[in-house]
Amino acid sequence: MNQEKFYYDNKIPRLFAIACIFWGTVGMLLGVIAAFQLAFPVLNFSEYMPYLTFGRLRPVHTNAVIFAFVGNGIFTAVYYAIPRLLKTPMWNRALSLIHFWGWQFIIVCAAVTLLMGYTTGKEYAELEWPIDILITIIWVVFGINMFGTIFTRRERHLYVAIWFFIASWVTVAMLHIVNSFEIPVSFMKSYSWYAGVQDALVQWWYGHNAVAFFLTTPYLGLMYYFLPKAADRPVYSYRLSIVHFWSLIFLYIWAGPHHLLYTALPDWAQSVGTAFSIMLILPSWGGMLNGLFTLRGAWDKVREDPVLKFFVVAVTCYGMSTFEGPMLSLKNVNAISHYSDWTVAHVHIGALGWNGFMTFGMMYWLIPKLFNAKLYSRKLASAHFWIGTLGILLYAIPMYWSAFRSYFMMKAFTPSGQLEYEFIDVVQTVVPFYVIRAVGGTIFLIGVFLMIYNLIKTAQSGDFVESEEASAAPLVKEYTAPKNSIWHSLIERKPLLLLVLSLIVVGIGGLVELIPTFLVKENIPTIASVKPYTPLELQGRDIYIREGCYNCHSQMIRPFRYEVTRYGEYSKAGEFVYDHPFQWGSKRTGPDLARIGKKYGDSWHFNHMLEPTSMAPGSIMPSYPSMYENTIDKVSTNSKIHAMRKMGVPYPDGYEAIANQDLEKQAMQITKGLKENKIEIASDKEIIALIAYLQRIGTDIKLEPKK
Amino acid sequence: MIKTIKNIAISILVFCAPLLAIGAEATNTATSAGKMEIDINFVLMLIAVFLLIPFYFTSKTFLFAAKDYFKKHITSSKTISILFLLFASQLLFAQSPISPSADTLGVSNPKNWVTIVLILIIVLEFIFIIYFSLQTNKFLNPTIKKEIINEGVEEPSTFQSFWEKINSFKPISEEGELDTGHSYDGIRELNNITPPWFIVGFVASIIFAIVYLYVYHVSESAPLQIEEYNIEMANAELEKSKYLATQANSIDESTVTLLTGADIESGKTIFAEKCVACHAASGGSMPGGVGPNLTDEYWIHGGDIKDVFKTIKYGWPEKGMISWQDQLSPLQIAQLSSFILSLKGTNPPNAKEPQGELYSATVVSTDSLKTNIVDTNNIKIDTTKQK
Repeated sequence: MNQEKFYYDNKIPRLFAIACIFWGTVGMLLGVIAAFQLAFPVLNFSEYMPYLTFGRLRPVHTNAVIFAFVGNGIFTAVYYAIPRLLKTPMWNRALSLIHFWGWQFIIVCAAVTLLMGYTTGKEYAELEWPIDILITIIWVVFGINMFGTIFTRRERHLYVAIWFFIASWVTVAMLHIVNSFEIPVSFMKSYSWYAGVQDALVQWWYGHNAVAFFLTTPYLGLMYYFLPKAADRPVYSYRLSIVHFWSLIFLYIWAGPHHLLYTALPDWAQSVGTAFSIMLILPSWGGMLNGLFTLRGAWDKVREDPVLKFFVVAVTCYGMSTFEGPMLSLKNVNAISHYSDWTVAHVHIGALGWNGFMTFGMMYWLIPKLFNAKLYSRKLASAHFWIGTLGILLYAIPMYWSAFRSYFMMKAFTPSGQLEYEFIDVVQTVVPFYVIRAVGGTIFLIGVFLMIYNLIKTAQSGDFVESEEASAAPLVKEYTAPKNSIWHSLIERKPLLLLVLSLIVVGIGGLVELIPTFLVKENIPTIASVKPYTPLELQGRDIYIREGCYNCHSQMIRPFRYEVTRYGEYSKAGEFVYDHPFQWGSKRTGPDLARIGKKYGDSWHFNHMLEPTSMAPGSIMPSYPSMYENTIDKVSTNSKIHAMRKMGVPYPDGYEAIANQDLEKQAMQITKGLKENKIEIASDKEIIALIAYLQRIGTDIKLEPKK
Repeated sequence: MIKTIKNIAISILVFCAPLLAIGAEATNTATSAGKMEIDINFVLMLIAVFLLIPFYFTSKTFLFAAKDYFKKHITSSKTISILFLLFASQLLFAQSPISPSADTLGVSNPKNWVTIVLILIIVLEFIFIIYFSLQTNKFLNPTIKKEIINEGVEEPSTFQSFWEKINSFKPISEEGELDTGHSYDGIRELNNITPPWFIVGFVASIIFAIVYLYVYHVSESAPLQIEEYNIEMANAELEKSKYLATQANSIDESTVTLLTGADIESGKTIFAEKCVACHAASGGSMPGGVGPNLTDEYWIHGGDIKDVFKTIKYGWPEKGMISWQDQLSPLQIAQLSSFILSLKGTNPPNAKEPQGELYSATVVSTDSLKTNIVDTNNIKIDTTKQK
């Protein structure tokens, strides 16, 4: 057969690798800053500017790590491995470049807009609608380029790494589009199409599977290429690959509701989430086993090769957190972990251990290859390995500890039935743990700097290989499978079939959970006394979302004695029907706010937002002086009310026109009340709107006639 | 030699595992007892001290191995690093006993900082133990290799053979038979069987899931969350009433009396902790303050001990006074109310202007007479309207 000559382009993988390391460093640095902010609130710098408060910085950190660091890591692997696995260059170089620069542009836009306070208020999907559209376009460009490459391949069967890349691509597309359904109010402001319980379910169906199909499955694909390459060993079991690939993508998608245990989500959905999470353990472990067993016979290399060391710990961390995850979705464990630092520890074992170490291992292997050089210093790489491991331990252990500690404090009652500790007591005891955690994060970051130095030195010592020559025979049309080949080899030969089957497999779980929650009325019993927000409250709510209050405050009281005693009556599904988007939160660094309305006076809130420690000594909340200067954006009231009504919030027809009159009336009332307390403030300041919103939260249900 | 290293490694593991468990257990019991600060530090100290044992053994072995090694290969840089380590270990030993008194440093929350120091010490100990073990291994390596050559291939340990068995490993030498013939960019694929325990586990988890859903939603024999909540509340109520039955003097707003002496002091402590944010340390609030002045003769919701007790217990939510009955016991509320009434006439500087109605303290309360209060100085009556 005649061999064709072609070239692998190394420039695109190099670009993605540089971007990956750069954004990784930025993302981790922001994480370290955010961690220190929790211990030392002065670092919020909120007296000088509103841009760096924890509520705005934390989304930048999470988005940077997930989409910029890991995202570019995925693309590095895809653009390096796919051509080699398919024996063809990437299909279209222009698309590759559009993909690269488009993605970096999105990241910059994301960082800037999030710090400016443009956010949808949904975790890991905070980006506003124009950026959402941009992401969709770039994702499609990536897909076209990938499938173009696949269709022009010279290798008949697709390797397991590519199955994972295809499934990840199609699922992320589905998740992103469904969760980003929102109705634009203006350029850079939109409301989620879904409300309350439904919004929560869609959000965590997305949030959970962003972890699954952005942080996990593409990285499994990465592992399946780089680990056997680095170890120079055959993959342990083809059979296991098939079993765990299909079971993993099928089961993963169902597990989203385990983020909402003991909330107002219908019981059946919660139970389904738990049941599928448990079934997920072994399919997840399939990847770990195939990785670790591939190293059989190469363990002597693991002792010496830093690349393999990183891979081994990464795969082990993957195994640990995919075991921990299902355990956390058991109701009794979740009762402890939800809203606590345990969740934070859990995700960081995954992010630092699995994604971080996997990326580092890949870089230590790839950069010398790209520059045709030997790694500058193995010792330094080993040092990075140990420093990184230490960083992870110092990060995770204090978080586990603080989670248990605060849990036992929160639920402690005196024999006569009073709460033993106030929320602020708990906050103060965990602050030292926050310090250790921040130190752990810093240590991990130092390791990254060692890596950067090492890799730069490596690159300098070699010459960049712009393209690599290779040759292979083209595929012939006629093909008869050998007799002993199994059914699955058919799917491996037909990429479109693989794509469609993956979509069906991941689609089932989503449909079964989402559709009944939307269509069956009994899932969300209505409460007659729950009414839409007034215009002023709506504006206040948008300020609440803008400042990212949901990063530290939940609005969901679970039916536990210690929560009901501490915060008030547990939350009901019917209370949230006008909440576009829902603001249940996922972490309680501060107390729950679901019944904050009318708990304190207006003047308490006024003083508290200006200087939290004045009303709650020992508080670690940032202050918000800019709200006392900024005026409420009354121009937007009209379109906000209009958008809300479009989504079914029952404002009367034509209310848009007079909404601002109501807004001003309510604002005057609040200002008057404050004046009686000797507090002078103009009625058009943002703080007035925020106070109006806070005083409304969770109060409607009290107007319900008593049975 | 291999055996010794293994023994050391195992002993470290054996040492640490139960300690961690003890730590968790102790945190648990300590918190429910309500005295967690001391106990957590105590547990940490225990762990730190116990870790010294493996630390000691590993460092001994390490030194022994190092000596042995340096007899054969002496290089200056290594010697320096050894000296440094010796020094460091000295420091560690010296530091451990000092650390618990670190609260004398006067950091704002000393107990917590002790916790930090202890955790750091434990982590350091771990690092050194691991370092010593690895380094020992390195030093002994040449010796090991020689031994292996002399003794021939070692017998597989029980763990190894157990591991081979449960995973149904085929010997690597027979790998050729398992080759699928696939080669992707040089990556070959074997077709080992899926480990049997994997399949068993997977099936077991599916059975678990089915049983889980059955129990909650078909047979409905396990309580769902609201039911669970009702059970929890009923139990709590029962326990509470049992406890209160043993307390002779349960106080509520109709039986509360003005307390004196040590109780006022207790009330003062509570006030300093819970009330000063809104009512200022003096109790006089301040102009523009959140809460009213508690030192003057004017009261918004009545100035009798019973009124004050009621105000604290239930709060006046529409005025911004929160309810304290879930945070303070009735006795504590009584102490606090008594302390607040003792502030009358203290006239602190920069206090808030009077609010509410002038409270007159001249008429004798009939309520108080009924409850046999003899201290006439403190007898008051409620002249304000009960709202």
